[in-house]
Amino acid sequence: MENSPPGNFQELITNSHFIDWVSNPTPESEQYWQSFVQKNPSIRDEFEKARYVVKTLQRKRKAIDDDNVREIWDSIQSDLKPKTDNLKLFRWWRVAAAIAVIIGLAGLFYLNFDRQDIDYSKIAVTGTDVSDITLVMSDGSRKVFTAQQTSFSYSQSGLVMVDSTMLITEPNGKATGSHQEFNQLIIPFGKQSTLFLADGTEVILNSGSHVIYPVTFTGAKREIYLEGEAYLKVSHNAEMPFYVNTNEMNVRVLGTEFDVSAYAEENTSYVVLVNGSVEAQLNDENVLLQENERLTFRKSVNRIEKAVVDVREYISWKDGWMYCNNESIGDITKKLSRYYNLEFVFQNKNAEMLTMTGKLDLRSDYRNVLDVICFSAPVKYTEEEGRIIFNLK
Amino acid sequence: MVKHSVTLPDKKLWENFLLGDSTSFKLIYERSIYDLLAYGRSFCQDQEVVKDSIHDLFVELHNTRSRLGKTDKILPYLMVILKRILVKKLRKKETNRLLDIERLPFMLDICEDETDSDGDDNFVRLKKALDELTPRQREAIHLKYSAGLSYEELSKVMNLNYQTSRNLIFRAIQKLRVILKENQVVVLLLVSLDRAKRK
Repeated sequence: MENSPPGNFQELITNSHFIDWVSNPTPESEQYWQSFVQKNPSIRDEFEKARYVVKTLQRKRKAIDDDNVREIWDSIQSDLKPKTDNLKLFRWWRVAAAIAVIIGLAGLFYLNFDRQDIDYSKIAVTGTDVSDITLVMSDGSRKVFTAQQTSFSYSQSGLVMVDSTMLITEPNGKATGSHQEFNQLIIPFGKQSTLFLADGTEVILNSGSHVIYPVTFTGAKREIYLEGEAYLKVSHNAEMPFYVNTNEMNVRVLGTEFDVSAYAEENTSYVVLVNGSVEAQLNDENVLLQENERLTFRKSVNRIEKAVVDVREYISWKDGWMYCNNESIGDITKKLSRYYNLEFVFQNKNAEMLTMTGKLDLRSDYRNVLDVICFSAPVKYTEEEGRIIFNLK
Repeated sequence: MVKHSVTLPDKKLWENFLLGDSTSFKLIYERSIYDLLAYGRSFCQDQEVVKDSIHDLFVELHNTRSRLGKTDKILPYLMVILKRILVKKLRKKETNRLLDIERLPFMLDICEDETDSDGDDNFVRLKKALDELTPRQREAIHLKYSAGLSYEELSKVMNLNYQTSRNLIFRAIQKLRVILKENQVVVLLLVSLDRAKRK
């Protein structure tokens, strides 16, 4: 009905463009409908009538209701349960942000090493195969967030601020003695999150990650457990060294920026150091890392390697980019599959082996990214039942 | 009440509200309250009953938010609940114990544009034309034009399927047109008389 121009009262009055124009005229729509009447003088009468009817039906008695609006709102407020004081939280948020910035600039680092003495296998929840970002509180209750990206900030008192708008009270928020309560964050494939820990440390979590951390840090060291990939900006505290534990290695830091990748399904885990220095421990071996160095652990051969790398390739995901330096399409699609939660199939193994160098913009739709790949390499793809099938051109 | 420059899409606003954000709750109220008042008043002349129902609606919304589902259009969602609460309240009144939702009266209370002095005749004619529609036709017209719902949203609020709601609007418009057409003769007549007088 709306494809051909409306020709009578009925068609005009049910035409959504016409209705939009009457309620919200824009210069373009104004011009369109003016010239429409000039071109169709025979329906001018119907046109004016339709406009009058729509306009009159749309008119609202706002002014006379203002008192009612206030009155009803007040009555609703008096019947609701008391809420948390938002103001207090916003103040706290500002402080946390300031700390993170200062740490980023300070760059003061230590290296040391200690054994992992928390049994994360006992704490870790099962049922991590979730489709939305999931926060597991210390009492085991779960909060689910449907956004693509969500940020979580912990205060010293055990309050969690979500996306700077919403507050959750951690049931066991207040630290008692040396006993620590743990929260867990599960990031499914296709999503990412930023986590500000109670000490101000910023943890950007990549897709398909699971992190376990104390609500507030007590004792002699700060420890978290990671499966997946995270970029960390650790806040400086010489008294309480910071550890990242993974299944294969433990990374110890005091104030630095680095990327840890430890996906369970990948054959290799690695740490890439951006800034400062860290020490990694695997198989009772301690390895010191310098800036721009990558430490790789190959599970299949139980071996570690150290190499100087272009850190951008490893950390660009946190800014929505993917740098590829002579990287195979197989490896690239493996990362893309996590980032976009897609499944890739290669009909021809040679397509998987082709390498690419360049920058992919992950903030765009995955089809755009795949188009870029197909533009730069002699491959093509089709989508079948939610799977991406690659083949040689 | 403060007027917000509103850019946050309904879907996101609703999500924030479900997560417990009190600002979003207030924003939802501010965005929908005028339409809810107008819609409620169309069913029920008693203003206090309408206000009570809206109060109940928002308190219920707030207290059950952890169990509510997603929506990307808030107003029709609230209209459905308001209608339910209102009907329940009306049924409690003795005479309406067996109130059938299909037979619920619907008043379409249009208001005149005071600056438009020529509109008087048109206004009276339109008002008369609307009076000749069935209550459900008036409700559909109200939802479509005053509340600005799409056919899809309208069909949800009125509990009809998509095609039925389109037909409802179509027949209502058809009727309006016929009635307005009949009156057109009168208008032309009046105009010519006027001209004759001037001569």
